[in-house]
Amino acid sequence: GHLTRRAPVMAYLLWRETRPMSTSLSRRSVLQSGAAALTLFACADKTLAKAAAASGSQSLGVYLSIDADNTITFTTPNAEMGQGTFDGLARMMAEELDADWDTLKIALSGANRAMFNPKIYGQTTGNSLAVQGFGPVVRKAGAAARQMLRQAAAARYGVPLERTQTDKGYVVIGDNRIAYGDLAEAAAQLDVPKDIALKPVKDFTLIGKPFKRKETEPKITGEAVFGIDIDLPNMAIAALAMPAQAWGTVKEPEGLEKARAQDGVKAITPVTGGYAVIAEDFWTAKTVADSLTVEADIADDQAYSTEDMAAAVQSVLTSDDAEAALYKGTKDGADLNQSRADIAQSMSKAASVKELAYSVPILAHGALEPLSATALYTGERLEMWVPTQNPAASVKTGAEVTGLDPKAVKVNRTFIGGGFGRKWNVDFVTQAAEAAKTLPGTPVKLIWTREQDTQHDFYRPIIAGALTFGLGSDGAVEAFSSTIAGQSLSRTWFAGRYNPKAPDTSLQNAPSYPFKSGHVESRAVDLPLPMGWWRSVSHMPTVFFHDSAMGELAAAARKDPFAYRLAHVTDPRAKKVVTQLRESLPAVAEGAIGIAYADCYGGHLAAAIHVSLDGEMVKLHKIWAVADVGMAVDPRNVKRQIAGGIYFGLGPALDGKITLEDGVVTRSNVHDIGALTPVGAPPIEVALIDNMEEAPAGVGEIGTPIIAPALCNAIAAAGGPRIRHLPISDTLSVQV
Amino acid sequence: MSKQSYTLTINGHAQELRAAPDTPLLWALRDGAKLTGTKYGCGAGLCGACTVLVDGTPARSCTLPIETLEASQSITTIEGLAEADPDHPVLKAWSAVDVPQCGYCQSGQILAAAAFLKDNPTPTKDEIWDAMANICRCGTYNEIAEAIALAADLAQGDAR
Repeated sequence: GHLTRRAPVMAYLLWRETRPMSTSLSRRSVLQSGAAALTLFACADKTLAKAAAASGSQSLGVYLSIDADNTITFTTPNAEMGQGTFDGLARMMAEELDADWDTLKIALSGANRAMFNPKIYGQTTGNSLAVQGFGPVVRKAGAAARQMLRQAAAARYGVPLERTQTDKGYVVIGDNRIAYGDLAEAAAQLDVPKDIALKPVKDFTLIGKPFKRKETEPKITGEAVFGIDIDLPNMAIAALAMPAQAWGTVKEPEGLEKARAQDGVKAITPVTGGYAVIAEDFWTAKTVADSLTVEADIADDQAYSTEDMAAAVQSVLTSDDAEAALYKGTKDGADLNQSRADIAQSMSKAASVKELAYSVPILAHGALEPLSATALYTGERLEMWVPTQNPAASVKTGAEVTGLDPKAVKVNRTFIGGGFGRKWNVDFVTQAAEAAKTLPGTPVKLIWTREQDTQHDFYRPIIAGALTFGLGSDGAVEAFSSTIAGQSLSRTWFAGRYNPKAPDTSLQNAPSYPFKSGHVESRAVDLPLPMGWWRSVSHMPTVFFHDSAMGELAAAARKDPFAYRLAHVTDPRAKKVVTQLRESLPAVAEGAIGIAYADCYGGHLAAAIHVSLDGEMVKLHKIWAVADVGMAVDPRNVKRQIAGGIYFGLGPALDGKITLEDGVVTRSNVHDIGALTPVGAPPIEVALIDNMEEAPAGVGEIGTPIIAPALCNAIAAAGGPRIRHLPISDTLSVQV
Repeated sequence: MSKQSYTLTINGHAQELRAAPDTPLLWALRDGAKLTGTKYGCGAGLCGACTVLVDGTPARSCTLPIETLEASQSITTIEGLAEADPDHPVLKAWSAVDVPQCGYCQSGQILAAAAFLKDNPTPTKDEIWDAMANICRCGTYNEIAEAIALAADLAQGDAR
């Protein structure tokens, strides 16, 4: 039978409080039931009151609701996939609201157009822009709400606003403490103040301090609900039969009717990219799905192997007349926008010229939670529970699949068991909706296998670079030219607004150094490999290219690697991280230390790694990093994001490579995609420069690009070969 | 394969589950017993996200067919560890160090750590790094090592 609208009360359940499944969940969902699609700053007079009237709790815009019992709930606009913004954005809001942190509750938002990240032009989670973009928005929301609560208290007690103060969830007037919960209804009637002063850094009590994350307890007791953990009454579970081929046209397999008759199978239906076997439990579904052999047709000229793709990239990279996007920015006043002719002129004046070629291979994301989404289609509505970085696209695909108005599609978010960019794509959400549509009234949870997750990824594509350095007689860089080629994510995913002449953000290629004169270009290559956003996107290859080159040039000029880099930067923040790193390193008896510096995501990072070589075997001993990320919302989490980002880059640097034969991915699981285990992970020490007055940088991705160049510089310094093509395991033995 | 009835002892309670004989314990726990704290990561015994304790020994439940298990064997999942002893030194240490990022691998890490400390109550730093083999894609390895060292200290403190 059809479920009523009230049935899936798990919508906003983030963790289960008791076992078996608690019935104390409804309050959590009620809290959110009136949340109206209005931001605190985009509503007409009195709209908050109207929104509140529909709600059991007092809704102050989309981010905040305050109950009569003074429970304050912050609805976070972003996905939580490990990066810590669930807590971080709540902290920024609570700081300005003067909420009681200990009792503050946090909810995950669904899709909400009113939750608009001004740096990302929407609600998607990516590009390390949560704190940078949503941070100021939620701080203002908190500050405005605090001001309105003070105004409401001032009016009630007939005192001027100046006589009101706040203290952790209370407005204080003399000896009177009035709970925010008592004032919220009146406050919601007020106009939203336009100009709100934010707290000065010196007054912070929450931002800049290390706190335990609110979602830690449920995550260590197994109670946190990830996408794969959704459990609804009467739910069926779907497994997929997918072709071996990574692209092409899916053909109907033989034996469908026989498979449909298997015990426990509820339906088998074609979905985008394969066939969904829907059964009463996952193992039944998977067993039947595995019995089907699905294939995809690939045209002969599209049946690429890895080598074919690498050759296609090289062909575009070295072509004399390839269409290219030129860099248009400046770098600390340096001119990096010279034409090909001009840079050739600059090179001709150099004392010597060094040409260096680099490449990085295809990589898979390998998030530990395989793709999973749950959908319930009733004929009039589609409700979904998804671990997504992209709620708006989830709604869009749900509406397209079902033919429903997008307003009839509801997306509830869960915690994400690792995203790294993969869960920006909504292919698995499309499939869940398609599967659910065949069984109206039955919730269907779709789960990919690890092998499918590996073989049907949206991969980080091959990117190759040709770099030329014009050097002075002292070995310093006078002229810099860098051309990279690879598949363009922007051209595929932002097709409607892609400009071939404009700088391509998915193939950005600006150096971290303000070289005196420079030419920087990116060339898009057309290949059929599905590609996507992979933690740090093209910073990973370009920082590897640029800083490997700096290491190699410093060594060739017999310069100290720190001094060489310091001579090529002008920004005091850059100088500080490099200098502090140098001062923090110990002398090593065995092997060598290699370093790298990068400036990306609005921050500065210098890192070092100590390696030694035992014949062909690379041994890693320790990693150090020094970062200036401006305002660190939680310095402890920032350090851990940087360390985690470094590990995420280290595995692939050592041994990450997706290979294909005739369009079939020949890697399958976590053991052959460069996923770093503890055995391959040396300890990391991260230090932060205290720079709280500076705008916050993104910290989720900044660590990932830095480690490959530091490691290759260290290997060369330790007497090993100079490695310019990743992974290192193509040249030396490694342990991941 | 058609389903049969199996009796398992999960977190101290006998539980009857219907499953095909080759069903991995992981899926019997998740879909049958509705204990979703045990995670599916690789399905091949490689990543350790599905780690549970069978008679106190860590087992990768994604490759352990239900037909190989006996009712006399005691299966402990993360829910059981937390329920039986909310003050378990490993949980206390994990909380104090604030280990998780995305959190998906943490159930398996915690159970592996609990079993490791039972075998080696006073490990050195190197022993901790060498013993832990579960994958964490967020890279919480430094925090895991710190938490295990702290858990060992907490347990020693309790013992004294």
